[in-house]
Amino acid sequence: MSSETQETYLSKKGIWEWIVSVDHKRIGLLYIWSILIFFIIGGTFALLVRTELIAPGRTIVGPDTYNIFFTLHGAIMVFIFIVPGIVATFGNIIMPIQIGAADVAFPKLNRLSYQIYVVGVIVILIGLLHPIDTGWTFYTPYSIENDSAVITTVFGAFLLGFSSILTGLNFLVTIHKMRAPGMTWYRMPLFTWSIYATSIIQVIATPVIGITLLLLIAEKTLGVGFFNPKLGGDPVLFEHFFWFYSHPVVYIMILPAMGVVSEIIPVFSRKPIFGYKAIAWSSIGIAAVSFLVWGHHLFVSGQSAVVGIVFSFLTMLVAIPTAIKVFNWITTLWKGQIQLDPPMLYALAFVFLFAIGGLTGIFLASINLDVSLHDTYYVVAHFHYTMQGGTVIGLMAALMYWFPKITGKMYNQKMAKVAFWFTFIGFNLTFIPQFLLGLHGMPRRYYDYLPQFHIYHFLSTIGAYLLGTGYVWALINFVVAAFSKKAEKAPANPWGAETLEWKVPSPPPPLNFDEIPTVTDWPYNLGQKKETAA
Amino acid sequence: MWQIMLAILPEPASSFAGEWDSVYSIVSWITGIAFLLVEGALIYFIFKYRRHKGESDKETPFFTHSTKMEILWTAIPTVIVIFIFFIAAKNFVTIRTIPKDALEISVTGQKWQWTFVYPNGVKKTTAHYCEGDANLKTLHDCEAAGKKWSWGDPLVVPLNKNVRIKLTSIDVIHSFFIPEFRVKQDAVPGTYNFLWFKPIKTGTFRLFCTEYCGDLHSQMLGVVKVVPENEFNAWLAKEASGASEEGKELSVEELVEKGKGLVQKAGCTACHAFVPGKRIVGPALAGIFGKEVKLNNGQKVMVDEAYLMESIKDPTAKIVAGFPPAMPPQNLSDNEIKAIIEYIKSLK
Repeated sequence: MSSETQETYLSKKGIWEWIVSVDHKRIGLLYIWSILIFFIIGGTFALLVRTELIAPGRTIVGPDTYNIFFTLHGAIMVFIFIVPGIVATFGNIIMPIQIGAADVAFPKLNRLSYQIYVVGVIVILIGLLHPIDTGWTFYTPYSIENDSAVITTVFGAFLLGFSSILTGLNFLVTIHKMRAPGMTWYRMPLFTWSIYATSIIQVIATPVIGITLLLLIAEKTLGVGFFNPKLGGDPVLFEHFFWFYSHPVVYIMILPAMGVVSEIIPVFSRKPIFGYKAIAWSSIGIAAVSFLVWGHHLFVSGQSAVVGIVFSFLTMLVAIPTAIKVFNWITTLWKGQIQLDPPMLYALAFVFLFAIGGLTGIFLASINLDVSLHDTYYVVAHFHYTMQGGTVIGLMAALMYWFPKITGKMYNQKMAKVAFWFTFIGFNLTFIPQFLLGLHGMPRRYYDYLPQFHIYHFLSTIGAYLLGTGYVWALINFVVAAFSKKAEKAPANPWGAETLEWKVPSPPPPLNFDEIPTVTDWPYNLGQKKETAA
Repeated sequence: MWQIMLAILPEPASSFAGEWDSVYSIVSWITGIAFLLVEGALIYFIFKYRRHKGESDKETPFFTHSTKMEILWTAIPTVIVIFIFFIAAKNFVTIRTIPKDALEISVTGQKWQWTFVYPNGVKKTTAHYCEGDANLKTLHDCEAAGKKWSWGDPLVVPLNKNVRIKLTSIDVIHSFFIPEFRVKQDAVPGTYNFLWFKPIKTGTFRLFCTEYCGDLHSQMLGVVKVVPENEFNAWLAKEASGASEEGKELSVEELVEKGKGLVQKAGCTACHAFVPGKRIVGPALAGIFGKEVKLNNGQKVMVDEAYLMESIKDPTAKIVAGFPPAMPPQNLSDNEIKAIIEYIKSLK
């Protein structure tokens, strides 16, 4: 095997090499380690929250500590884990190879993005010395009157936003300028399309949260009245600013996951993707509409009824490109030769769970229904179906799919399948009872609850333990494979895929290609005879 | 199936709750069918087309687009979501169009209770305490100890009359939610928001705070009591005469007794111990009257009537050294504060 003697991007050893490296694959791998560590921490806080809620009354902690738990769960999961989630990890490692480039357009800027990310994380960790209890949304005036480390945490989130902007900018330029000869827009893999759509949102929406968080810091330190009514400010203005970013950001989270699934489904169905252009353009469509729906978080804030109705209408429109994608994925399965390997299991679970997230979203977009359902467990269940059932399951699918490419090794597929079933069953057991809680009228962010809600909370907590078991199992399986000398070596193309990252060795050499390839076709001629494929 | 979907919901008890339920049912049916079709096709295809063990690679159809299908599956969801948008918006307009003839009740949220003020000045407040043991902080723990939990005064409203709620907050954002009435609106400091309902069923319902507001957010509940109109009028008149009695002179013993009740109702016991030396969030209030305390600016102050009055009305004016400036201003009348002061004086 000649590849063993060949230099790979992992060949250079030592911590210093990782610190100074501008290789997109090394930076991407650093992001993977970082986000997975914080996924475990954020998940631990989730399990603490669920444990407190397993029975009414005090179970393990008092209300003040509980409030810190759910705040840290949300803040860590959103800002540190899921925003960089798939973009900064697989966007970094895979996207440049998919378009036939040696690296991103600005490798040093890419390293700076990661360094800013690390500084932002450290600042947030310093904030843990006096942990915040504001909820991850920092609503004013609660966050203004609060004497916990709001300023520190908000400043950390501000820095993470900068990291995200620079990554988005870098990827936009990379996709525009670095594509290999013959890699036209319509030959680009759908994962790269989704990274492109995501990057647009990162560059346009993130500065708004940056400014908002700075205004909040200015208000808290200098006493300038933007949001505090006591100083003539308007607390609802903060909600508008906050959601102007934080709604688009959910598409920063979900679009790359949709891209991952669009790669995996055709490969494991041995069939070309159906509706390539529709999937590509619906990503751009979702990115565009994402800027115009923030007001659906404010239906009961005092926002005028007319504005509410307009936002309800725009929100309904999101259902259309989303539905189109789901139909395309399912049609791709039709008459395929479906192979249920771990990446495919997670990708199919994504479609199943995300469909539930999407359909329950229609209830929340229905403005009269949202009046009652807003800020109840219905919303909690809905966004976990999209963010966890969608993005996190999409991230797991991506890890299962690209792990052999990144490490050059194969994980234990049987273990991965067992872990999958824990995750899938645990997930539904956690969140289906939460839909019912919400319909009954149980508000979110409650430390204690009325006796009639007990059974649902109990089931949900049991589900959460199963879910946690599934994730930990899957991650241990990866770590064992990555570091075990005995792990099976992965070939260049274990899944029989056609995108360019599978044409280079596993793991790839430092500059990806010996020679920049020339592209002559799209990458989805799967399950075809060679003649028809030409 | 129709019934099962509705059985999950709280009993519809306001004039527009029935239409809300119909919209909910229609959306449930549409999304339910979509769910079965989409997930059904997904699962069916997985089983039908899965690769069996030992099966060799086969050629699959080169089926990459179909303009007809794609137009159809874009158009159908578009029509459906626009339809849902319309029926939802129609009910929403009813929910948000306040009738002119409504009885107005002022509702103020604060950490962590609701205050209701009726047009004739009658004032009622919610509370959350375990009768007989202030150390039991949750309904569950209180009932488990065999004691009775109180949610304070109910919001009493007349059956079949339009009620308009004028909503604000004196500290952070709260949200006023009565599931059975299908209404919710944020109580935002510095401004007024409005909501209305017409109760169509007598009985007691639950009022929740649904905007996170700090430590006791989950205790910021209340009871809504719907009574026939004549009963409501009689209740309100009786309460009004009781309110005018508030001005009359009470004996010290009566004031102490009244103050003892108020510190539970007003939520003081959530943060202050009424036994000497015990710290919860704020300082213990027993045995402090007539003594000097040190403030966080180094000054010393004598605990007397004036100091206590100021500290309840404007809690951050003087902060005792070593304690956080965490107390919100209290929504209490001077007479009520005087009763609380007498109670504090009585604690040695």
